[in-house]
Amino acid sequence: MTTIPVSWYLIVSALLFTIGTIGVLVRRNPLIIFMSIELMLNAVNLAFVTLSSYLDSADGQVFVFIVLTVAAAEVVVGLAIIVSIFRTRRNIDVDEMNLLRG
Amino acid sequence: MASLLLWVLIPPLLGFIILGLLGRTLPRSAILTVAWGTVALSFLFALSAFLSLLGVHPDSQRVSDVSVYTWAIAGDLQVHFGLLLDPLSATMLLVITGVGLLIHIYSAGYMADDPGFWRFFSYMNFFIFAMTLLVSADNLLFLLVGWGLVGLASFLLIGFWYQRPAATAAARKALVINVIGDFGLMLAIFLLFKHLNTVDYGYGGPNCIPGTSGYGVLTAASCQQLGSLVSLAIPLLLFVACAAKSAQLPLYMWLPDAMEGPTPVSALIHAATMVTAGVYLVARTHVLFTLSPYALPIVGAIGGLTALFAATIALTQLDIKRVLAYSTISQLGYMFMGESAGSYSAGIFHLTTHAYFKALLFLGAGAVIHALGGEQDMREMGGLRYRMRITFWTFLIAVLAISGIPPFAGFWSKDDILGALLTQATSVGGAARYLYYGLWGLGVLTAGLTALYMFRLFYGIFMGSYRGAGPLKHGHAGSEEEEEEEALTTVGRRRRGESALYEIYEVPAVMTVPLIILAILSTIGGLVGSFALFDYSRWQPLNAFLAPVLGSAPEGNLPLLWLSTGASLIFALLGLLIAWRRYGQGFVYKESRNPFYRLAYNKYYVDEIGIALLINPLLWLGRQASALLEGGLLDGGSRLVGRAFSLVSAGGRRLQTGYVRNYALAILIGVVLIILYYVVRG
Repeated sequence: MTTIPVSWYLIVSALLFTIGTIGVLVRRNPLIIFMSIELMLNAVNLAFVTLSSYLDSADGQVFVFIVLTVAAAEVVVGLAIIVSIFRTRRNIDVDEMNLLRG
Repeated sequence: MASLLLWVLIPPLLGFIILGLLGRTLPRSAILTVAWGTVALSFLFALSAFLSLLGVHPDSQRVSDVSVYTWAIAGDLQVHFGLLLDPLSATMLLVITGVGLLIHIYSAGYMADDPGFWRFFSYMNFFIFAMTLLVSADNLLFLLVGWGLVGLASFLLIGFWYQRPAATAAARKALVINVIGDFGLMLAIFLLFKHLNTVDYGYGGPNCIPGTSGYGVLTAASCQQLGSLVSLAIPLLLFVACAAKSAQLPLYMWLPDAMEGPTPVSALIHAATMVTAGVYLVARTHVLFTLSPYALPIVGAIGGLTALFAATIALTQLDIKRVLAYSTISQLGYMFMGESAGSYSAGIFHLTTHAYFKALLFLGAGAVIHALGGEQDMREMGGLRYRMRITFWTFLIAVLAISGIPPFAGFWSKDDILGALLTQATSVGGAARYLYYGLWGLGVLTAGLTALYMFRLFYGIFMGSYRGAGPLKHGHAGSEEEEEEEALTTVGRRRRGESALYEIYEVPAVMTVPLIILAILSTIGGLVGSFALFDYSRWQPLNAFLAPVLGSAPEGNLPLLWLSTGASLIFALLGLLIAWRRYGQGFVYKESRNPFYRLAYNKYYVDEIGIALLINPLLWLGRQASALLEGGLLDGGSRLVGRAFSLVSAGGRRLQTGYVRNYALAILIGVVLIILYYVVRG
């Protein structure tokens, strides 16, 4: 059985990250944006585990746990904000939220 | 010995602080206890300092100069806060605290109804402190401190009734003119320091040779190296200060306006003490005045002109306080004339007697004003002798004293001055001789005018029949509103003339007692002076007392002195006679078309000329400067800077769109660029 080379994993990871980034940049629905952010985080996770296995070290896997925890916390806070914005504005289009404009 | 002087200074200062901080909450009796007590303490200490001086023999040792602390050291200059006790300062301190105490007592009655009772006494205590500092300082710098502080006290007290626009305007005028004088004094001090390296009166300074002409003065020999220009500039600059403080031409304009203050203030500050500071300064620094042959004649000429000028204005005024104000200016002119003749002690002698009788005149006028509820116009008076007996008699004594009728105090001091002038005229040579003859003539003529206007005032107030309508209802602090109200009730105004006279009452004892004491002093005050008329060597206590400081006055020969006395007495009696002929049956005011009368009545239009020539151009300049510099340059410049920033940021603010994804994109680009940089660099 031939092993899949490390570079392939990394390419997938980069692709996922790019897709996520584009999603964050172009979508207007905050839920989709969150999902894109998750995608980016998981792309990073993939890179971590790949390299962890490649270098035969547990450090990368530990990092993944931390990232997962942070991601969960971030989603909780983010969703709470979105709900609160929806309650006051009846709308969660991110382009409408431009009060910080200079 | 001089530590006594510190105790003269401290009580009024404490009184000022206590009254100024707590006065509002204190009851009346406490305010009076503090105000009277501190000045009385000050007087007692001044008296004991004076007595301790008398106990020292020989009299050239009668000096003590104690440095309380060193205030500043800069290079060669050492400025001590030093107190100088010598015959001159002791005499001045006695006059200031003594007359000051009497006027403090009197004020309790005069200001009784005033809501600013505590404020008044705290200012008065402050004045006493400043004035005692002025005369007891042992160097010109601390004299300047006192000089400035008395100006401030005068400003505060002229503007005491600050609700009245006239009072605040007068206060401002007084302050501005006094500051001109302060400036002159400062320049004189700078020059002295530059050339003599000292600001002390007598001892210090490496360039001064001490002890050649006694003590307590800038010694004559020390100052020989001054150039002729500097030696003229210093006394003239000093005299600018004297002219401003002592209301001499052309800086006298503030004094008549200063009558807007309460009458006790006019008596204490603007007649008896503060305005004589100039006379004191000339006496104190007389060595500087003798350095240049022109300095003293200039002082004399200005004094003589002022004496006559002010006397002619006093002839025509109707406001009793203004008559007294112009008479003060005129008498100050006399003092400077006496000093210009080299007889400084005559100037100080007249200063002393003048303090008595002029304070008495003002306090008497104040009593009349108080009894009439604020009326100051002579046309509304007359016949008051029936109702105000004590005021009448004391005022009569003061009028006799100022008119130079023997044996009252003014006679002796005025004669001293006139005699000194005539003596000087016969002893000097050159053009100065004619000047001194002229000054003597001016002095004699003014003596006649003095008797004329003083008796005009006296007849106007006390003789004839009453012309007014009883006391005004309101206090003397009446605002304009009240005056309007007064005008409204004039139609139904109470009875006029004789019957209204019975609504007027003599002032309370707290006011009459100081009048009586001052009347006694005005009667016998001449005793301390020189009885030059009889024999110079026999009786001249004040002269001899002051001689260590001021040098002995030049002696005149007896026939000359009798001539001088005779002439001034004849003129004074002539003035009295004219006044009696004209006003003896009661003062009748007639509009006169005589151009000289109009000129004097309008005070020679000096105020108007001043406004046209000085004030208006200055205001114009100020407005232009305000428009150009302030509006154009400063405001315009700062607006330009603001404009530039807002223009620049108008482009930059477009970057801040408020769209989160734009920021995210920017971050992404940044990250990519950073990564690219490292990738390319390898």
